[in-house]
Amino acid sequence: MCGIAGILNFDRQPVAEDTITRFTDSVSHRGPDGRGVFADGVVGLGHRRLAILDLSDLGTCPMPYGNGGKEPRYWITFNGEIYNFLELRNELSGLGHTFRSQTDTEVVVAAFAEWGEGCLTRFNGMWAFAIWDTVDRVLFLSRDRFGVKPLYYLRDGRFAFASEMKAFLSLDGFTPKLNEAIIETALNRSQSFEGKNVETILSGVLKLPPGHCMTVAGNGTIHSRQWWNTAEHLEAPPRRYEDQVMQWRELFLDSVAIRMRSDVAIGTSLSGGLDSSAVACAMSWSAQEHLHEERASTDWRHAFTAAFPGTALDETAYARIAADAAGARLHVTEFSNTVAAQDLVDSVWCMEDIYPAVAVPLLKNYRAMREQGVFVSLDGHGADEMLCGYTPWLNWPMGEVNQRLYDQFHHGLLPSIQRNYDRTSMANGIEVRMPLMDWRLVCLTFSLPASSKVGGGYTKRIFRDALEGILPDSLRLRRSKIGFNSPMAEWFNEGLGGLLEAVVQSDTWRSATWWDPRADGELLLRRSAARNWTQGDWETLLQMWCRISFVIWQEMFLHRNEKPFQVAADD
Amino acid sequence: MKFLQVHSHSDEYLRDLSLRHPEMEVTTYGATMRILHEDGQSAAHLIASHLDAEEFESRLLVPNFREGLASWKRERGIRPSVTGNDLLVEYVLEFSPEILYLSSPDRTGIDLLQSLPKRPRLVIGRFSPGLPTDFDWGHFDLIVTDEAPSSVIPGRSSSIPFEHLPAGYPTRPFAPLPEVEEEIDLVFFGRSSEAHRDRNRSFLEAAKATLSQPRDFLVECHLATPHPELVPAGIAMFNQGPRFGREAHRALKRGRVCLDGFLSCDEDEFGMLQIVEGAALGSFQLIRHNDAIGRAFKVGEEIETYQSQEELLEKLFYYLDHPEARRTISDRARQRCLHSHSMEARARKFQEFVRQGLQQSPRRIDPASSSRPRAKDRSVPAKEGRRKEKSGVKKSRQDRAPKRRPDGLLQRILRRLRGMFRSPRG
Repeated sequence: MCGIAGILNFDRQPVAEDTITRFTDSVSHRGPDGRGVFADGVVGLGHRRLAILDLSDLGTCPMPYGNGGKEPRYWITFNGEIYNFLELRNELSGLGHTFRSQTDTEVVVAAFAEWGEGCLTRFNGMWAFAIWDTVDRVLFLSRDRFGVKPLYYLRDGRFAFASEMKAFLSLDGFTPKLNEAIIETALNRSQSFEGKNVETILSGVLKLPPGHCMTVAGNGTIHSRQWWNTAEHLEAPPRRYEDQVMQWRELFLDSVAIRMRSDVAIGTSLSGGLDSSAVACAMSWSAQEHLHEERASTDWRHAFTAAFPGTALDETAYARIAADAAGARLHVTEFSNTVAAQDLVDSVWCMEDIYPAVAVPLLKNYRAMREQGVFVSLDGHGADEMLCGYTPWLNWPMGEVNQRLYDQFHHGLLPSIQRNYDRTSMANGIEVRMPLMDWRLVCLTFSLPASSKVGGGYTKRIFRDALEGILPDSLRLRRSKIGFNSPMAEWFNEGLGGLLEAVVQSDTWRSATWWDPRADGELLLRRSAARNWTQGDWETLLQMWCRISFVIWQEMFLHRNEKPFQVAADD
Repeated sequence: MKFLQVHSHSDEYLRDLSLRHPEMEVTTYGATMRILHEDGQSAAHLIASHLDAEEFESRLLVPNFREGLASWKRERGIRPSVTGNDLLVEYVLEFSPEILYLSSPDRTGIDLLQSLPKRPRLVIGRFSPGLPTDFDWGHFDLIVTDEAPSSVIPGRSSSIPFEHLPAGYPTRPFAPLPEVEEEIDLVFFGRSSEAHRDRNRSFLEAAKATLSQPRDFLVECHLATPHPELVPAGIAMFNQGPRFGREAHRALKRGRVCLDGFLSCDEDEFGMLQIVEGAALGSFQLIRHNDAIGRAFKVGEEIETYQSQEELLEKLFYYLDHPEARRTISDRARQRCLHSHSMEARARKFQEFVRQGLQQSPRRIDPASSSRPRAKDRSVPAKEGRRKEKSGVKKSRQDRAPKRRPDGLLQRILRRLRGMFRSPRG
């Protein structure tokens, strides 16, 4: 789990080492444990390392492979985790491959050497990586099935790629400009924008879509193609619901077990809801069932939650039940309503995109995790989108539930959520693993009838039934859903006055054409001064936050003001 | 006076009854009818057994009650090949009613009416929302309905009298099931049709509130779903399938609060008095507010209503937290029903309609003159038509009654004049 970057010049000019180093260091927060750079003429690869497997220097990236290490054919820079790397390593060893390290990275490049692009379907995990073939002089890039790990690229007489959009700001010759053509969509449909667009709000910077790979030749030829389509991998599920439950349970527990493979301490983020609590308790179950599983971390009893005392969003009591049931120690990060505004500005830099939620609690939760020496978090993302967990979705006719969930999972809400969790965790050097997004489980779930997902009085029906005996019933059968959100109304009423005023008075806000700067600015300040925002204003608050964060974003990304609204934030 | 009520139950209900009472396959006709009667399905509409026994000899015919008709046929030695409309005609001819009441008018009832060699003296139909808009009311001498204003009855000629006959409180044959414990916070009965859209939406919002509200509450839904793929996920999530008759009453009694009773449709102005069926069982009912409710019950004292989704949840939680208030209201509703809405009271009113109808309209329409297609014109396959022609029933009917001629111009003018001098009510 790391930050990756790379450049392939089309003009035959060599990539300068300081250029690729600077480019790589722009994502240093993703890899606080080391830097690696490889420059070979027209190509340069960079890597910031977050060491999780094989903490020795043998795990350093970019990593060479082939010819026994002498004049290796392949160089890989890798971000992600291949959870079945032990099984693949055994298979590749049987085929004559030898390994120097105990990393999954070396398995990935060996698999590519053995099976070419066909290696991708053998991987169970999350990734974005690039492999430079020194013989064919071709760069191969790939992104995992569901886009858990990010990969952005730019083509402007060269090909440059990186883990985050902000990296391009440090690239020589790149002038940041707003992508005017899509900004309105990004503002108004910010929850689905990520999954529906390859363009970004930064002009010229594109995303490699999930389940896609790409080859880039030195002559500038780029060929992108889809290597994974979930719909093509669905199979007829067991006919009896009880058998479906058993199969689902088996896959879920296995996906948790293989995600506990780590050479560092692992933990979990608890919201108090069903999904994260299930993951925590499944970790406990797996730890007992797989005591001697190779490479499974034995240091896993860490749970972290964000608390919002006195607000309707506080679920600490439920998180405590889950932590107790899992036998984990619960670390609580409390948020007052007068949360420091400066964290908001930092969160915009971290998130680097428009999204209708304040990411401060996520950011601070993962920061607390890092401070406690825990570097991997098994989280519960994906279940709501696969199993109809959101209240408004209960309006859908049953005959449309499966298709709509499929769309939300692949092209709707989930891609945005994944992006948010990747940025906020990696900003603190934390790797987030998502057992519920194991491709085997995803394929089974999308093969099930809608009645296995919504029925028996519950959403996420099969999930709840599969967890019988693993998760306490007080959590397993709990219907009310709060979700991991910030108490926006309370914060707008109490903590953000100075920042809001500075944002509304800025030239960027005043010159905005996507909303009515005067009327909306007055509304924002008047209601915040009167402290009369309520939960009933939730949608308005989310919309306002999109605009505020977009103004902050423009200050930082376009005007290159690293600390905008500093005075106001310190008020 | 012989009175026959013809009432079709839903096929789904009768299948359910068959499963619960397999003994109906081998028992007597009287026993099958007793089972049906005691099950209480649609009891608030089954008036035949409540009419004054001295004045009326009453019977109930359920045209789609397979076991009942089979045992009736068996007891009379009628050939097995006599089925469908032919069998119903046999039944009617044996009883020879002077008054025929189609309380669930449908194609079956109209076919039966058209097939009778001799039309009863008075034919009454009950309007209910959900009937096809092209339903031909020209077959009836009198229309009764729960609460609907006459203007909403499509195809009704102003010459046909119209009377209100709300559903009644059936004190028999069933008791209020005191042994059933309250276990569910909110219970809902419904159907998934366009006519039930608004009702279902109310329940959907309540169902969604189980996720969005911090407090946990138990919800149960009993929905008949011919098209389950169209049902919103929030309703499907709680749907345990339809319940009928006594099983429906038990399910109703399990609920601390019943949302919208056994209402049959969305319309605000009629059909609402079906809540008496729930009131009979002592169920606390939270009903979407409408004027008809206010005419039948004192809102807030005998019944509780809501006007918005917010109010629905507010009152639901209030009454869940205040069981005494709940019981006080449901007791008052029951008392009000006993006093004002009993089936006996409805029967007295109905008998008045019958007497007036007999005086005013000895015969409005000759069945052979109906604007509906006649039996021989019906779009049945030719083979089917030929088979019927050969049946003994057809022959015997022809023997009993002379073939009628279509109405002439004079008859049509006379009928219209009669209609002009009749004062429609409603």
